[in-house]
Amino acid sequence: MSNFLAPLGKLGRLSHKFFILIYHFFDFVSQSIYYTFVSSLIGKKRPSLRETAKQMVIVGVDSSPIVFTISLFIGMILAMQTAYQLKKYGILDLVGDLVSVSVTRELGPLITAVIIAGRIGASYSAQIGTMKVSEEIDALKSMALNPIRFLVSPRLIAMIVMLPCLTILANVMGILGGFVISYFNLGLPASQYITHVINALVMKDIITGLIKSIFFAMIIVWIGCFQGFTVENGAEGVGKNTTNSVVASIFMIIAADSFFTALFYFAF
Amino acid sequence: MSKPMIKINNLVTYYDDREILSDINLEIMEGEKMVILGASGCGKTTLLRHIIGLMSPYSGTIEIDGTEITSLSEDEIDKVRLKMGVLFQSSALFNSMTVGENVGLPLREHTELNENVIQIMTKMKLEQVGLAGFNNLMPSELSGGMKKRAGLARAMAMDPKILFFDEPSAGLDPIVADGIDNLILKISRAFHTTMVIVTHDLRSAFKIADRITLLYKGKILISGTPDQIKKSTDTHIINFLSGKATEEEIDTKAYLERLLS
Repeated sequence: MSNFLAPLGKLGRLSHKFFILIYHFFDFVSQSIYYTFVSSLIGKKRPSLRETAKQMVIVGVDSSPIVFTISLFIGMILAMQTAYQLKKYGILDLVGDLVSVSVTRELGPLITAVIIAGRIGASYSAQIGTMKVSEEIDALKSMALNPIRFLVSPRLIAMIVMLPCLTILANVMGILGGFVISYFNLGLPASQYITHVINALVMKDIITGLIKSIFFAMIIVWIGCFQGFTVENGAEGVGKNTTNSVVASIFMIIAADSFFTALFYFAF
Repeated sequence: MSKPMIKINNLVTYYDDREILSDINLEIMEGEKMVILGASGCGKTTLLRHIIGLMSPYSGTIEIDGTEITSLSEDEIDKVRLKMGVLFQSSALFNSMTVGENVGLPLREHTELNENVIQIMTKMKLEQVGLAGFNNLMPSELSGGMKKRAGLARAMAMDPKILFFDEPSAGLDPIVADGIDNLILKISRAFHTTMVIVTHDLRSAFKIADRITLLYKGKILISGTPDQIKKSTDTHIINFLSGKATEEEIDTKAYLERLLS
């Protein structure tokens, strides 16, 4: 009897653990919204401007070389892959249309978010996790400094501002990558690519991409920081949670991406 | 006698199913140096974490300077925490900031003081703990003893009414540890701060304490002046003071049950 029910008990314990984790995550999210946006409105302490600016430099300025390079490659790859198809139908001049629309609507925001999740989200988990292990989080609390206001809020603001900025630049670099291929390899005149890009793109393409990137920003910060705060078992736990944070944020970014793409596709 | 600064009533706490602290009652007076002494795992750090509000108990109350903290929200506890300074076992300096920034952090966050004033106050605090001129070093460039001193300077930044020390001599050689003890005594004489020192180090306990509370397996064995503790006839106390491990009484039935379960 007990053997027969054992898997059921295990399932129960696992789902109990899972729902507790979900509860703690949403509690953390609501606290971070409160300390970042609400508490300063009702006259309480606001997040430190200095720390926010520092985080903006780390997210925006320091990440731009890698985001630029990868977006350029993505634009080039897209141009080559579409050219391969379009050649068959003799409509090579449409490369500009395809590259610009897919980059601004989809690949610009997505690739930027994935790079930042790996580069910055992971570092949030590792930093906050290490701080937890070395009692620094407790020290913050003992000094009456709320760890969420002190650590999460500046990162949240910095990411929400900087990720869309990076996305815009990634869009430009992606389109430039397409240009490189179409001009040097496909032999299309420069003016043709540019007019096609300008004619194909509408404001909606760019805006929907940027809206997505704001949500990706929140996902990266919330998952990265939450994984940091839930570190247990010392240094080993830091490594484990850092890995978890990257996997979970990339998963959630792609899940959110499909949701928003469907929403924009069917509703607007 | 002066008024109690910390008052703990019937404190009980669990970790999962294990009882860590059972029915703790303790009063710590204003300006007193109370040492909480006990072997590893007796619950002394847990007790400290409850007093600072980092953990909430299963039952019982904790009053700090007249405010009951166990029922307060995090924001409300923060107001009480402004009266406290804590030196953690690992010093808990922020590794991304210089020593000076660490010490000045509470001032920068909680006061409207001008940056120049904060700089001067930071230097004063570092001077008091014997670390003059170390403002611009990073915590990773300091030795263990210096980290503790810097942590103490940070704990003292807001001129707290109560200072807590979690194992101030842990991980330090006897000479450096003795230096920290002297520093604790010096600060106590100069500022009359209430001090709660959690330690397993007998030598430093008897050197610093006005009163000692001996914890054993989550219970208070005895609470009294160092002389009263020395004169005690309780075997657990005598064993602890002479550094002997207490022989566990073997319960044969329970042992067999553990093996067979």
